[in-house]
Amino acid sequence: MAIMLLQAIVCGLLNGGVYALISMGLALIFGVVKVVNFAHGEFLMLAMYITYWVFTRWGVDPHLSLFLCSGTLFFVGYVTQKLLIERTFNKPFEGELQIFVTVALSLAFINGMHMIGKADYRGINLSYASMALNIQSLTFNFLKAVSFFLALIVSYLIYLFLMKTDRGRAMRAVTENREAAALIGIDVNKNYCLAFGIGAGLTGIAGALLTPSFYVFPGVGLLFVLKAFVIIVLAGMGSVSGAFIAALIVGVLESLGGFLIGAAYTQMLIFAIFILSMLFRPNGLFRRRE
Amino acid sequence: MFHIMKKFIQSALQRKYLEKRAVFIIMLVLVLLPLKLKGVYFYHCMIFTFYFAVLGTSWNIISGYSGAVSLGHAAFLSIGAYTSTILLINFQLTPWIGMLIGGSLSALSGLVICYPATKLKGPYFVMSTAAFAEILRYLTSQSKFAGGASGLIIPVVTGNSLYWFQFIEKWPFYYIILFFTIIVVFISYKIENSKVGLYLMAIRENRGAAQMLGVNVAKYLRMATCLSAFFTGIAGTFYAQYMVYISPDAIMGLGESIKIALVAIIGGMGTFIGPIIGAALYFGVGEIVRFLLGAEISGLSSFIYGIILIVFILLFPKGLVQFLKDMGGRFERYFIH
Repeated sequence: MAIMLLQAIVCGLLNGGVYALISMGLALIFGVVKVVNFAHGEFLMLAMYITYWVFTRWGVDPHLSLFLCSGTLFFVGYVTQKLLIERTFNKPFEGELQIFVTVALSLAFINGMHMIGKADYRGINLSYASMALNIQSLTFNFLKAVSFFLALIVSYLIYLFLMKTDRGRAMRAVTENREAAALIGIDVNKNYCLAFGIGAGLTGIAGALLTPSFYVFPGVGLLFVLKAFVIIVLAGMGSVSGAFIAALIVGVLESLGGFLIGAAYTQMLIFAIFILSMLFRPNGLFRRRE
Repeated sequence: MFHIMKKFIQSALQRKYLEKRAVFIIMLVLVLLPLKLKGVYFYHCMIFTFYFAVLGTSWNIISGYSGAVSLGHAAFLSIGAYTSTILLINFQLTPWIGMLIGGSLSALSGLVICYPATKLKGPYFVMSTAAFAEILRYLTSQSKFAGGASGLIIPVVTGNSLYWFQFIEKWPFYYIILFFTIIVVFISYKIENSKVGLYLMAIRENRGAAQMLGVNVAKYLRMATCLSAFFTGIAGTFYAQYMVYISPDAIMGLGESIKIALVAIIGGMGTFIGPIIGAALYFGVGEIVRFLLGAEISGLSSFIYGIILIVFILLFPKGLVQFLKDMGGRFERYFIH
């Protein structure tokens, strides 16, 4: 029994790694630009489609195409901020406008993909997909383990970027106090675009990593974006490292829940986490001020 | 000659006559329409436009006037629809009463939303409304009592029946929804021009300041939410009786809530006619796009539609009505001088 619990926890951790990438992207966007990005799931979906096509046409392994995905999605995110979100600044009902622009964008992406790719479920099969590692008496799915480690590396890189580089420090400054940052001379708009781009790029990496184990179809983003929102609410919106930890927590809870209560109720569990964090910690676990 | 025309337009534009005359003429047209025009599709369009107008106007009460943007109104809609339908199926209760009960239940559940409204700020509140709608959808699709994912079919009797709220032709539904629209818009108009409306708008602009000035924020938010939810629930029953089928995918969840909010946003979020115009636009543009582009590539029409929506929201952030009002000033000035 204890071994099975441990197995569930490990599985949850591995899943949590990928959730972490998605949520960190969302947390970055929300923290810096202060926009609830409803199109985030579609960034993921785009990356999955790119990975799928590149694999089916040219046989490129998803772990290589993640570079392509992150680059493309960075561009997409950057452009989204520049062309769309920037237009909503300093207008009345700004917050609601931004929500609806991202929602409309999400609709456009989903339907655009419908047109291009049809609604078929697609999947890719990697030769080594079902390989498993056995350590002690725990079984790790090889693919998931690789994804997890890549997620760890990327998260660490983002952490380094945010904490140690000047650019990252500028971004954190914008997160904390937009006006003060502008007063010091930080180009706020450029940082917004960068943040959106990096956030989308992170999601792109997650998409590439998820493609071997998930069906690709236009609505796939919607499945993950809900979890991502729950994670960043749990973490405290805007806290990127908090999002990482919260993602692991949610992954583990989901896995444990599935093991203890049954797979059908995991969705309920996610909602329950959301409600509880709203009730007891509306500002999130890791929010330091406010 | 030109001078005479200008005088005519000037007098027509005189504030106090313009609005009353316009309203009267429009209402006359709408009421007399079924006598002249037949055509099932046309009525379907009109009915749905008014249906969304009711939804948008109700949404506007809590979100436009009070500033508490809700992405969870589909929950109220579905509570109304499911309540009346379940009562109809199990107790043969006439949907008219079921409608009132459904609306009241929606209003009660509105109080559930109100609690986070007072505690959570901005995006947190929006997300919790969305979560409310999604949780309800999930629970409904798992519940056998409410029909599960395959939904509920409204029991049908032969022929027209007022008791069972069923009609073979469309025109009774048309008049019913027209009647609802008039009522809701009238209430919205009354709110906008009353003390309550001012309180709500004060709450929207700056909750803290309003509280400081003595406005009982919690009470008015509760009032607005209950009103809004009540009418949305009633519209839900109408939908159930008109479509004769409800399911979690049809009326529940975030997607449907967004449609409701969209109608008010593109029309004009803080005005009472905004949602009507928005409903006409939403439905009109949707149908036109589908008509022109729908046949060949699947998804093209929805895609173009999403693009149009984005452009529209960016061009008219305050909604079309507000834009016209701002423009109207320039228009008026030319004729008065």
